[in-house]
Amino acid sequence: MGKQGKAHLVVADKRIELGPDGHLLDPGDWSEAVAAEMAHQDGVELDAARWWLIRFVRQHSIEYGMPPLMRVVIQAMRREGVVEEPSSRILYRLFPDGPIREACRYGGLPRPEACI
Amino acid sequence: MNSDYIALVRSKPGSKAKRALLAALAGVGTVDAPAILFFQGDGCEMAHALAGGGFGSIDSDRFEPCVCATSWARRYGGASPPAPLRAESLVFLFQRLALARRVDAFGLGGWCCCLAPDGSAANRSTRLLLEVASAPADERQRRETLEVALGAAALELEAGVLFHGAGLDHLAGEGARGWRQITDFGLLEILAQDAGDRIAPDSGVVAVDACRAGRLRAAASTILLL
Repeated sequence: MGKQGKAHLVVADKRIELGPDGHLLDPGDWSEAVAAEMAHQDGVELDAARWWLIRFVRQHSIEYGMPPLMRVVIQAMRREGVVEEPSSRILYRLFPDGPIREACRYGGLPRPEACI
Repeated sequence: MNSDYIALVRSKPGSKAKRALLAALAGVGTVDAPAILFFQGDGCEMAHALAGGGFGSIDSDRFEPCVCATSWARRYGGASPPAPLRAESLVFLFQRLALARRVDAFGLGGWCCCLAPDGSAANRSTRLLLEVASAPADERQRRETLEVALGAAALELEAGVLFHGAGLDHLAGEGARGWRQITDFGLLEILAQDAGDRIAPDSGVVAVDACRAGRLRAAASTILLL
């Protein structure tokens, strides 16, 4: 179910099923429109920094088979000038419930499992 | 209070591994706080087996047995581990590791013990060496070995990972891509001993010979044989 307790979304007339933790049951259902609808349901505005984070976490997961460490995100944010003085505090401002976990959810990825 | 002793247990619950663990624990004296036993990866199966037998001869007042929350959940689901086990993170392991006077590692590839030179943790250098000497039996084992390294990387510890022998298999094939994030982002130093042509030139892995590997071991304050 999503943050608002919904078990599914409807995007472009397609029913998208969500798991109990709000992540897509089928990652193949993901699109940016799906991410936007999830965020809309949660009352979250996906601004440029949040989109950058979602895309970065998705790309990292595809390339390395797992989401990035917070340290890696901050390093990449600094390199790409996404925000001024990136830090874990800034990341938590973007997604207070956990920046990597939430970027995974909006990015159509499974809930991260490592306790790092 | 900080523990004087930490054991990282990653070996499966075979009789030989269990005997080695119990023998090491019998010789451990605790001064300020209970010693910490941290079971990670296949070591969680050892913890499960020991917990089933009430930890046998292990005095629960002297030891705090913890399991890696992720490794435990992979094997036994989301329920909390049974007492006296407690779920903890890899961050907890590395935070406590830095303060211990004796560190034992019961890895998949053997056992090793590290003592602070004069018995005090304050005089330890901070260099941590993770040694990988056995091939991953499956993807889960490969992933859980990588997670130990990522735990050290997350805390920005001064650490290196040394692969040798059958452990070089971790860096081969599709499964190696997880390790690649460590070199691509400069998180830790990754070294391969006597790897020959088994390491891609653009992998960022540093090739070392046995002599240099020996120097790395000598310079390390703590060696964890994974």
